Amino acid sequence: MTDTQRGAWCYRALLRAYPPHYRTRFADDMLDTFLCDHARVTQRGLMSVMAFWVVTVVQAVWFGSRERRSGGAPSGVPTPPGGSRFSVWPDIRHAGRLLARSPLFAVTSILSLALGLAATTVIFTLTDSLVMQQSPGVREAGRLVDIGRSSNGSGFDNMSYPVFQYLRDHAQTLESVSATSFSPVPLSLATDDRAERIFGQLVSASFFDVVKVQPAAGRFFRPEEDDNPDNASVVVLTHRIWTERFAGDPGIVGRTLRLNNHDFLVVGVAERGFEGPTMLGTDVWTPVGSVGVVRGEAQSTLLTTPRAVWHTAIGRLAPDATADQAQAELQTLLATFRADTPSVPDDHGIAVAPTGRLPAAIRLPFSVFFGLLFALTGGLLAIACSNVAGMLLARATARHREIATRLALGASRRQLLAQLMTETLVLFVVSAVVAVPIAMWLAGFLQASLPALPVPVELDLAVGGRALVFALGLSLVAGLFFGLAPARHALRTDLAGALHGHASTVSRSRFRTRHVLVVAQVALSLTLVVTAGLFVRTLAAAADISPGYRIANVDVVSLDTTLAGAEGEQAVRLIERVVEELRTVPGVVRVGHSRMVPLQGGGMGLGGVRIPGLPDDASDRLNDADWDIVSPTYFDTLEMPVVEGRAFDSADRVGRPLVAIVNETFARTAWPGQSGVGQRFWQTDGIDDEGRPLEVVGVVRDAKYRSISEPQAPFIYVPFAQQQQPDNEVSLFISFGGAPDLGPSVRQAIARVDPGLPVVQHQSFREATTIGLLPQRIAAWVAGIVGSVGLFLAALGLYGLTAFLVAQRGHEIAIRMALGATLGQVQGMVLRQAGRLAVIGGVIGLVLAAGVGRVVQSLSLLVDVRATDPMTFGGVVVLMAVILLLASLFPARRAARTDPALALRSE
Amino acid sequence: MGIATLKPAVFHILLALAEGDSHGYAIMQTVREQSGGRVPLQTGSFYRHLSGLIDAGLVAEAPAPRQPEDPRRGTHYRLTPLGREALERERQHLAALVSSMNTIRKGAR
Repeated sequence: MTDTQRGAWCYRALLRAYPPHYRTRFADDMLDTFLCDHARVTQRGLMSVMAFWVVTVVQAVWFGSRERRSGGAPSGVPTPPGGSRFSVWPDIRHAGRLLARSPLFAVTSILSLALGLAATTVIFTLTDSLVMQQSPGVREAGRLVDIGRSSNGSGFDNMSYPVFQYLRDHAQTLESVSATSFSPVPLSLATDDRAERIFGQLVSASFFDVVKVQPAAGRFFRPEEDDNPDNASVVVLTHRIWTERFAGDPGIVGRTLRLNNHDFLVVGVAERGFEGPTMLGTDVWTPVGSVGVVRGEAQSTLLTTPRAVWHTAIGRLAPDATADQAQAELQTLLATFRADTPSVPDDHGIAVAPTGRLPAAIRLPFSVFFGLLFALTGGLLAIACSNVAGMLLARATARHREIATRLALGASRRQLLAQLMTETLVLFVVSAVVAVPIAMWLAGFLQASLPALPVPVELDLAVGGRALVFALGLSLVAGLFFGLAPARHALRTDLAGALHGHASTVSRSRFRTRHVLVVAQVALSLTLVVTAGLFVRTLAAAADISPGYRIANVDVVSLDTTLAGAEGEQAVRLIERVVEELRTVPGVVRVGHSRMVPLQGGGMGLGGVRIPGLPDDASDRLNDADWDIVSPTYFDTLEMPVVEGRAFDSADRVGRPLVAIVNETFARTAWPGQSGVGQRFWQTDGIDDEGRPLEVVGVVRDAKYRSISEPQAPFIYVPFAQQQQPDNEVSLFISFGGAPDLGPSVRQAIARVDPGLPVVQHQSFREATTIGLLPQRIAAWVAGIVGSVGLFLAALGLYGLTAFLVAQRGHEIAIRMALGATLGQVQGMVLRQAGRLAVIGGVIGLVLAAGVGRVVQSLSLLVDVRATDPMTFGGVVVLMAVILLLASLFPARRAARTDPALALRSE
Repeated sequence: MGIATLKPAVFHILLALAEGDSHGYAIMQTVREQSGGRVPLQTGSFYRHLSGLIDAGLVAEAPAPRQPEDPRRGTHYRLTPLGREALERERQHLAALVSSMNTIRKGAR
């Protein structure tokens, strides 16, 4: 839905406020003029759009109700008496008039509520698109389950193909099941003169049956294309790449594409919109049988090795089966399989989870993170709501006499309650309407600020119909919840007393409600500001942490030698020539390369680690070590100190003894108290349990690999010339002096070596590493906005309360002053009352904030900052104290300046 | 009618229509330009005034000349003789006001 369509939809809904005869006459024309205005206003920016919507809603509601009342009703249709479906219109009109009469109250309430609603709606949109919605094209998605491997009963990870085959052939609880690679794999698509990178997903033949997707052209895979690599050179295209890349060529089926230097026959195109069941998109699908080609391993044993885990599975439950039953059955099947195939590790189990747009493997951390964001924005909304509730309470007191009069004149309490609730609900609904453009803008901003991700991600953050319903529903629920107490207080009136003017004796409970609201506001805003503070401190600390290598003045250039058709020894020589050529570029100081770019959140494994005689826990730790494949100059280029032994050199090639360099943590864990240099460990790949021995030639200083916040973990480096990976991705690190734009000269240098070797990506190292702190950035951003707005609202709330207290106690203050109290004493009295609330709220807030801090810490979102960081907590407390003091000082001073005679006479 | 003057928005709408038949959005824009933005009109308030004028017989729907360069489908409106009369009366009324003010100024001099 475009903005215009959305606007038209909203306005059409608004037009229902008008009576039918008016609508038949003008609705079409009004929609036209509205849309013209809307288009005009949209160009003027957010504030104009918001103002425009407010006016539009108020006018529709207001004039609509007047038209209804002015009785343009077609003759012959009697206007039903009170209690009819239109009986709320007078109430709404009345509510509108009251709001218009106190514009400051209306604007403050509407804006603060709208901000809270907008922030919550944006998080809802994010969560909705990732968690609640299904990917387009998938049918009966509720019956789909993700199937993976659990370790020791928990987790969700890749499984091996032989295990999958066994489960596929024996499972009764699954109607169909397909293997699928977790994330899309980069492929090189060769065209006449160049190579380009696309993404492919490996699936087995039943994949499209499982998701119930139809071909738009041709066919999908056949079972014989699964298990036998010789039959597997076929490919299915997404509708998108077919239309965009191949211009919708009607003869595409039967054409041959050159992928990773192999010919693949296009057998079909999937139906429009479908790009896979998760948020990770793809361009093409190839059968699991092609795994060797896709991953560049000509002699792949992945299809036959029970220990090689490299894919997950997606299944459709049989008609009567549940996910739990499927899990139990698959677990049993795995045990049977293991009895025949001892090489399947004992701690492996089967994990089954409902399929969603978030792949099951990363669902838990994402969900917790979204929960945190919801809590933050919900906190802001709660502050805004309690602020409004406080103001409504104050107004209830001020309207004491009006309500008493109406009750005395015979209005029923129910009628009055309905009217008061209508007033509140109008306020909340208008806020929801104002919130929509703010939410759209925030969502657009959020999407625009996402960095480039290494895999294609389909994430549509457009605020759509569901989000609108959410915003409106949330505002109604909040309105009912926070409006009921003030309304009931307003009605709990001592008639005689109020009419006789004894309005100063306000019920204790009304006070108490307001006190609770202010305490809650202070507590919540303190929590929000502390949370924001923790994230800001984290970002600052992360900027200060030395990752253990040089980031400044380094560019990262990604290459893929398979795109130039170079593999094995050829690739090594090609990259060596590229490095030499790059060294000649003016400004370039050093050039090194590795397979991985650190701090991008991921790591790479090249097999297990076996060291005879090592205790189990140390052995497990080393098995989890990340690996990287680097060039001899890598450590030098990134200024990583080799603390013992040597770096790799050009003599470490195929045919020479296999070598490795480990970090300090690895050396300490593997050989405590000894030097790591000269030691050996075995690199196992699960095929033969012995593995091959690697000799440690050097130990480097620990550094941060996956993220800046990780604890020290063991790490292994191996030389590019000895341990090539089939996909041959290479990240060149180029350090330079000064700040020249290396882009063109680097490209030229690479083209001089091989014109067919494209630069996949060129970015600064700093840019490349920002993705690692993305969650912190988003959280700091959300918490920062939410926290500062919340703080402002809490100050406003305390100001309102103090002013209200002063007004209520005007009589008492006057008497005190008449009896000789000084200005200072009166001020102090008022401040003490406000201060007590602030302190109670503050203490509760500190406890809450410490709790949030713990949660954030347990998500490893904090870097070098304690959950109860004294700087943050202390700073926020001081900040809050100053702001709250100021907020209550003004009314207190005003109280002290009251002329006692005046106040006493007015009673 | 005598002293009763037209509301500014109503006056400007009549004035806009005096230039020729037009459709809703064009009238609204003309009013905005004519009044230099001093008459704030939005869709809701504009149609409220317009329906009042139609009910009072000052404005009527006009057969819409379909113009190829204008894609909007809006209904066209025209000034009725009664509407012209009202506008003319307003003109006379304002002219009378201006001339009496001029008299006062001259007297003061």
